[in-house]
Amino acid sequence: MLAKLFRKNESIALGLCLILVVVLTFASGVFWTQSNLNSLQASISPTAIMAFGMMILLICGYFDLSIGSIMLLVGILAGRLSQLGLNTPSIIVLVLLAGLAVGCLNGFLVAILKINALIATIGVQYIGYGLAMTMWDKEMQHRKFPANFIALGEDRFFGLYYMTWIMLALLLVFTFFLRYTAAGRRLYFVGGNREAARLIGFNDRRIVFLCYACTGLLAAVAGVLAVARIQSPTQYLGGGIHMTCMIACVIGGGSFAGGRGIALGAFLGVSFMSLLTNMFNLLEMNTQLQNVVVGVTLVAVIVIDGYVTLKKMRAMGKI
Amino acid sequence: MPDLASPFLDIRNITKSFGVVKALLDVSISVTKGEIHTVLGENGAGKSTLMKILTGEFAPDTGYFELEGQRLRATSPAAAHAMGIHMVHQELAVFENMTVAENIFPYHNFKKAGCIDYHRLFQEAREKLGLFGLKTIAPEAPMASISLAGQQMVEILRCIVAEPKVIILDEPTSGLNDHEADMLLEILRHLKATGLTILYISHRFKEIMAISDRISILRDGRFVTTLANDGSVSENDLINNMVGRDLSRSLYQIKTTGNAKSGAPLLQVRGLAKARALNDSSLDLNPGEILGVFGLEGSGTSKLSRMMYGLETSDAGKVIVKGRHISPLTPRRMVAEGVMYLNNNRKVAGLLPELPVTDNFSLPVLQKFSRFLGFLDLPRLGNLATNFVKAFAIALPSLATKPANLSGGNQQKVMLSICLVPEPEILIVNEPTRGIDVGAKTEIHRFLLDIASRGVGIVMFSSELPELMSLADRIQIMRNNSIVGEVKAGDYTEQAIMRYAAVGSDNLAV
Repeated sequence: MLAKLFRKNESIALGLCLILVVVLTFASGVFWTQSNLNSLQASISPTAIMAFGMMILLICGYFDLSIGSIMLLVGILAGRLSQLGLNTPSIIVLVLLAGLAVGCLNGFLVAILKINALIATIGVQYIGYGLAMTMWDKEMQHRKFPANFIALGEDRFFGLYYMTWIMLALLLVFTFFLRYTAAGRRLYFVGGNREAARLIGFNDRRIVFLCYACTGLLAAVAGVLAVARIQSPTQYLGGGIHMTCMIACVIGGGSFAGGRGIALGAFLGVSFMSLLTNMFNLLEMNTQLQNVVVGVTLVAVIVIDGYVTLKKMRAMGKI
Repeated sequence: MPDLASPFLDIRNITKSFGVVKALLDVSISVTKGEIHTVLGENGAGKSTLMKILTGEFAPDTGYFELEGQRLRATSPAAAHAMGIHMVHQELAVFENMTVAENIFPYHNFKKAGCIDYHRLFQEAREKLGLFGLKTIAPEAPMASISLAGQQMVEILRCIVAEPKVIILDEPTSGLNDHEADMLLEILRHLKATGLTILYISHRFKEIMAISDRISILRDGRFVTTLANDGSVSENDLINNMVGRDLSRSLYQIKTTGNAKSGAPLLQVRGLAKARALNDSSLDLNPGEILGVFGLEGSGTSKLSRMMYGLETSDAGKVIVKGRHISPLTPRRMVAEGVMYLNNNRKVAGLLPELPVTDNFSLPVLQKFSRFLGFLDLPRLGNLATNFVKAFAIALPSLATKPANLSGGNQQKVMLSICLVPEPEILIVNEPTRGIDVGAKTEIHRFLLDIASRGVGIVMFSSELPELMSLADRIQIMRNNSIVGEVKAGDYTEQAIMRYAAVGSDNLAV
């Protein structure tokens, strides 16, 4: 049972999270305080929501570098719409549609036009960033969103933020989707062997397109929750978050080669990244070292994984 | 007994070209319900193109096929599946990241309350595996963890559970040992008994004779004949139909005398071997000699060509160039020793299609033309390219032309001349005339003869027998990853060589 658990790809991220929690519990007096747990939630939830999107793309063998700029675009668009006096439900619907549209653009470029995912999503990243910044003005950061919008980031239900509940709900939805629906399983077929998936009649283009669309929508959800938490738009929203998500997904058992990973892995990977930041803040360590730790962990995870796979293949005489 | 009267799968007058190459020419075959019908032919005879048309991967240029009077609705694998045609590909189309059970049932039809019912999935998979005598394979096991033979069986199972009307098997035994192959044949007989129609492609004659009801033979894209395997057909009949070209009127002149210069061998390959890929293979090449290597698909020729040049690692054996043992064996060392390699697939490796021809020519000699601080002597490189283009009569608009914009024949000529730029003493060429028109073919043949006459030794891997017979001084034949025989110029007959390739001996009384 324990051995089986260890073989799971997600166990590394789980182990890393547990280690950090133990270290923080003993090394810091404030780790378990309400305000620290609040800031942890606010850091984990939006990122994890985006990481679910990144994970389904990684399972198909793709990725999306534009999610950070979708988040920014959504945040600033929400600010504009709120300036125009729209009510909260309309703002939310419109910005989610915007995120979905950008996701569809990514899907169109990568799945239909077959443009390399790196090129296409970097292009869309710049488009999104540029559009967002043309809508941006300094006034915005002093204008708060309507109270019921801010509630999305502030209010709590049974001790947890709404955004945390939304993230946990999505975790359940994606866990179920990836494990118990035929549509979810198809992602693994496409990611495992795209040519073979096509040969057995799966529409790989449609599947990849829908994954990009879904990822765009998730980035928009995360964007709404993040700006609601900050209470007003900021031009720094979403910076570098695409890398955080990808690194988290890989540490959580995803792979750029495709065909593997689960939603829980994305959640654990993001939790690790947030706990690490938390540790560096609480223990007042040199924050530059944090990047070193992230980099070392990422490379170590991939090296260990590659080594194990290689050993398995050798044992079977496949190489 | 299959009902031979009514055509079940009717292939009518199918023609398919790829550029200048006619892969299929007016091919008609009729297959009856419940038979095992083997399609036989040399490499490039058109079998795989025909199968890809049946499975909806290609559309024929002209002609059509009908299954029970129905035609394919769209050119897509999904449409062929809907019609009831499934194929087990030679390069396994399996999903190593999934469980065995999901590889058998990828469409996930077992559901309970809208969710995938894993319990049922594993149970059904276990049942199907048991039916095929594969009880040792656990349905929960990751596909990556089972043997190649197991993966092959699982892929066949996946086709079977879709309840197809026709199943196409492309060299299903190529990765299997004798015992596993026997098991597979047993399963095929069992499937046939349930009324399934099987199209079978294989080069293993023993198997073909053992399992086929009828055998259709293709040669050079044309349909030759369909023979009923009722005891009256021998392996020799098959071989004669596979070859049987009228070579007296072909553009090829069969070589009757060898031209090898005597002296120390240029290249010696000794005991090259790798598990499951190549058995103990040795060969010698003399100066000025063209040594042909022939084999049917999966016979190990491409492995040998790659291993003797260090493109793939081998478990044992050595390569000796001009008396010097090359160790470690790497392409870089081979080039330094005066050996060049012409890859068989110009699209994948051979040319930089988007760089000017001049740059392509300079590739193997960048070092030689480097001057002070590593700057290239561009004028001299330009001259070099001009000379080669002239010498080989390559039709180019200009030296700045990109190979991507050239015809296949000219690309091949450019590729071959690039190999000659470093003035090699040994040339390993792999399918030098694949996919090019007849004119370019004869020119390349002339090249090769000319190079050899200047003392260069050439090892020529080709699946085109007439080509080898007109160029090579000796032909070594491979079968089942081993070199099984040699025929010298003067003794060439297609039948003799094909007999080696097919059954491993030239004994007439097979």
